[in-house]
Amino acid sequence: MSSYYKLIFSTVVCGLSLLSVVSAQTSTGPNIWSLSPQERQALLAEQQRQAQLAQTQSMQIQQQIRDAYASQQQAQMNLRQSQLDYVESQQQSVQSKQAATNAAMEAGRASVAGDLAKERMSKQTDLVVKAANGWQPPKGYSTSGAPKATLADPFAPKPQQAQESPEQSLKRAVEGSCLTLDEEHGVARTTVSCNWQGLTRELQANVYPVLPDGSLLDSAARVQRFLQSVRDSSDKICVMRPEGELVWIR
Amino acid sequence: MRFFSRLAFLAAFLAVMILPLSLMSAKKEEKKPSTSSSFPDTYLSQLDKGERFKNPDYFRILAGDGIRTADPRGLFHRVSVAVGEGKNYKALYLARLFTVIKPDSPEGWANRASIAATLGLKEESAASQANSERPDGARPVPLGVLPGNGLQVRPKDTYDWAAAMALVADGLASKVGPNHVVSVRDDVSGIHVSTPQELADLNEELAKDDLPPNGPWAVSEPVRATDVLPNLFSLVSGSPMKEKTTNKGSLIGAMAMAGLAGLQRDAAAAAQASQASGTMLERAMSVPSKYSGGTYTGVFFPGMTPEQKTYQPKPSGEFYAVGGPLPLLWASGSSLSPTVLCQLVSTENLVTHHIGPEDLKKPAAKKKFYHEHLPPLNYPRLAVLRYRKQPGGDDYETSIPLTLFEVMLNGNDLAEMFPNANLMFFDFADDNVHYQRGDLTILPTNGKSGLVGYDDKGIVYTGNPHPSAWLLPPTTQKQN
Repeated sequence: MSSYYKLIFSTVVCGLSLLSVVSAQTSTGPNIWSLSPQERQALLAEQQRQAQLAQTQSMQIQQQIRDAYASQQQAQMNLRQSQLDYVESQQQSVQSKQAATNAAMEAGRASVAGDLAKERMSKQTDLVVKAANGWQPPKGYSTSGAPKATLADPFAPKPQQAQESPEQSLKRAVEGSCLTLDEEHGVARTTVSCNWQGLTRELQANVYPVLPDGSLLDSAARVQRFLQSVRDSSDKICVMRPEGELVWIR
Repeated sequence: MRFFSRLAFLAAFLAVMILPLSLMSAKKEEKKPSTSSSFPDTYLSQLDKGERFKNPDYFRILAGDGIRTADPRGLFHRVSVAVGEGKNYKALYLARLFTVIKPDSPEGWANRASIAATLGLKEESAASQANSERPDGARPVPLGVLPGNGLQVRPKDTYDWAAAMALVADGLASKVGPNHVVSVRDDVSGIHVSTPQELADLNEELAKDDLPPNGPWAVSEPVRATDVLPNLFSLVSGSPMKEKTTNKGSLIGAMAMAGLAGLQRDAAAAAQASQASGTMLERAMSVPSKYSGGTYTGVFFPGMTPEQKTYQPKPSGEFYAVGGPLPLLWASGSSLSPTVLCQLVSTENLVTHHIGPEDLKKPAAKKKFYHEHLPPLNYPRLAVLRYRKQPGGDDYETSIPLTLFEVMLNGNDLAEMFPNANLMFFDFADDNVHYQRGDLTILPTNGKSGLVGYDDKGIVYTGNPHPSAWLLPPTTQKQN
């Protein structure tokens, strides 16, 4: 770049020197009016030749400047191209290396993954075996069928009971037993000593039998249940004395 | 004619048949009438043949408490038929109903006492007997059928089995309140371990997509109806299994390490590695099972006194676990309630979708999915029955979601108990074959696409139980 400015500078200096010489000769030349016509014509011819020469030199200099500029442009283009080429080559190189790196990583990854997969597979198999072996059979039923229940028809006609009050049915229930209806309390009590089979102590008179659920015999059904219980079961039997004391008979 | 398809004709045309409520003079807590006349339309839109419940009487009788309006004479006759057929659970359920409808009948109480005694229910039998002697002063009777108690007798058939579920529901409702969840271990009927052939078939499919081979797995066998009753428990609490997700940090680190290892070995050969290695590593880095932990507590009542047992499910493959709780909505809540309030509790956000009342007015839109935790919801007490068409075959017959009464009652029951109703009903006689054969199974599904519940605004939420999402009683009890 510096040579280019030197060239321009020297060309301008030469041009200016030439112009100053011509000017000096023109300004300091002989008086034209004192010359002969031939001399005057020769001088004019010489001056025209000098002017043409200067013009030619100026054009040459301009051409040289243009040439130098074009040359510099080309050099810049060449430089830029070479830089681009260099960058491209560098990129290609990097990409090439990167591709190789990635491929190598893929291979390594696959290898390690294979090892890990085997380990995981082994653990998974252990889990499955453990889950399957830990299974216990479910509980089942203890019987395949139940005994048949006995049913009473709630809608069957009940001619006797229809006219009977609860007190009447209670009286009817105690008939024939050693129980009687205590009308004051509306429950059954013993009339005389009863000595049913299976009792360790006899039932004294004027005591109130009590069912296992604590009920006194206040209905025909409860009287039936008490009598049934005395006959058929070994459940404990309890009675209540008039003063409220409870006594176990069996 | 396949019996499940018969339900397609369940159109019920009920005449006016509301009997005076004065007939029902039993205990107050047993007499609350249902306040709703149907399920919300949003839920019915998620139910196969859901339009049958749009008939208020059909809904009331077969999903709600309308059975309390049964004709007493017809009801007693159905009790006697059930006793004659040896269906003692069904006989007891109907006999209990009779004492609710006619508490002043000594014979009704005596019949209940007699039937309860055949099932070994001493307390219920004794109390019913006492009431039979003084029905005017009838006292509350303990409901003896509970998980672990009163279920020693094998039900005679599917109707009887369904009645036993109803008795369990009512027994627990009287013990712990209306919003209880009854469950059974999901592996109660066995565990299926993948066979070498199944594994080979799966891996062949995976290989077609350049995916790495899978490992073995084990899954619970479908729960058979015959295994359910002796193994029930009341699910009182639980923490579902944790669902592990891939740890990205450790995955990236492992990938870098793997890459270095590859460079050190042979960079040239590395170029041959497939792009699937990333997937392979991710799979390899994942744990043998995504599920871990989890525990739940079941309560049962041997001898009427509660006992607790803690259960722990087991991971059994990459995406599987066995031994979790399988909810049984038929035995949950009260037998006379259309729904039970419970919550699908999950450790991670569930994939769900919603349908609100306003969505039904819009043209069918693409289903929107959400990731969320579900609140306590009203779950309709419906479930699905399924069986193999041929023993050992792969073809299944699957019912639509059914209410418990749709399984428990047959056409004759309804005709006699509701003589004034023009009720077209097709019963399930055929599936007794499958019950007897032991291959009748139950699925906890009450909607088209799984387990469906709805909130008080009628917005329906669908989300399915899995190892990290269990149906539990609500932590905060809400009134239905």
